[in-house]
Amino acid sequence: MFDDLELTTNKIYDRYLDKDLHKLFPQLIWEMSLSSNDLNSEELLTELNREDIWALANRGNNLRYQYINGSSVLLDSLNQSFKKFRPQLIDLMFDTNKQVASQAWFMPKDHYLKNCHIDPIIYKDMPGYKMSVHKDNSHIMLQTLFNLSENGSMGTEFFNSNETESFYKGSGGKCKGVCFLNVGESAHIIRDITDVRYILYVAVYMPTWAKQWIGS
Amino acid sequence: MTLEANKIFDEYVPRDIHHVQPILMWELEWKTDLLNDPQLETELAREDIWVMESHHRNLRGYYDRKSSKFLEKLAYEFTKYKQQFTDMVFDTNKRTIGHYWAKPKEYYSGHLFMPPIIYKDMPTFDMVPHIDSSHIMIQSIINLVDNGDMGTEFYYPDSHEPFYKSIGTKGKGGAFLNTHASIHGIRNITKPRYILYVPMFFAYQLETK
Repeated sequence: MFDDLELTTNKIYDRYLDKDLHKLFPQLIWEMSLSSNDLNSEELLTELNREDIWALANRGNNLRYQYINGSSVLLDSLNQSFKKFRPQLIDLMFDTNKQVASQAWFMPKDHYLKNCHIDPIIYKDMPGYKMSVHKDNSHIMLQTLFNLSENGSMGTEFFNSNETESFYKGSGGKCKGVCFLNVGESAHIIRDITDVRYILYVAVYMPTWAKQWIGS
Repeated sequence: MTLEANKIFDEYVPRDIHHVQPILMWELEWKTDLLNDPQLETELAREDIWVMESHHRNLRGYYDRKSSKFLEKLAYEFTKYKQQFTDMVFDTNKRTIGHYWAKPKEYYSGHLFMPPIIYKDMPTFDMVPHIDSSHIMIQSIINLVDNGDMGTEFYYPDSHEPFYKSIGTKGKGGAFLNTHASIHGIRNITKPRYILYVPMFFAYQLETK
């Protein structure tokens, strides 16, 4: 299952904001899409619609549920198959804008290729679920989100810190997604969830500590 | 020997309407006999204990560990404050720290690494405004000599003028949480500046790999 899973990326933002006078970190955002025959199968929707595979995630306003690993062979397979993209995502981080990567994570790329990990999570967001404008925590280097169902206009929205209106909203199309670097202006929000929304959420996490990071 | 910390900023960048760019800073005063010991200036003045950094135009040198017993002791003594820094970080503003380091304080304890580095910055050394690596949780700097008005300067993202300059007095310094808003730079170094520079890193295990 998901042997044919493929990931394509398309960079849509690589810019410094006008207000960022010091050129600290650019916004780096990609549109993404996944393809696989299994993503278009009836079985996927059947599995997502099961009631016995979800646990309350205790995030946002208690309307987010997390898939319980081990409770669906198909969904486990999706999570496992996605892990093969770990090197591709790290390449994306480090090769798109080398200055950004080296400033934010100062070890050579090989170190991160060896030690970063990803942990695919499938979420079910219920109508009314929301998260206020926030940036992700420092454990996360890169964040990706994919729609596992047709999520309409319920995509994640991105904000500049000094503007009230979002400048970009991720696609809600099935198998479409968004990816962003967790530095600088990466504030985002989830709101206006009007139907059940299924997403695949995959972060690239900072690696474990290594003593060689301090040469002296 | 004591380290006094006085919080001076606990706010958001002006115009940060979503409150995603916090500033959390302290002024520090390290009271220790080591700073009044005549050996300090003698050792700092040695030429054979510095490794100059080519990526800083050979204008910044770090103390080569174990080349001076006195400086080794000085640097080691500061690491005794690791728990104090941990408490400062996690207990000052739980909302702010939770945005960056989301797990409970206990999760991080035992995995924090605080390597002390002594720097000698030569005249004309500078660093443009920048944010530190995401690996760093909190950064602290103590002046080892009287560094006059050569303190580190802190900026808002949309201003070329610093909103704060850290103190240059011997034994004093500052600390800041490494956030999206901890923009700082160094300039106007007119004479050798000696500082103790101590970042605190987090080391965590790969729990889900």
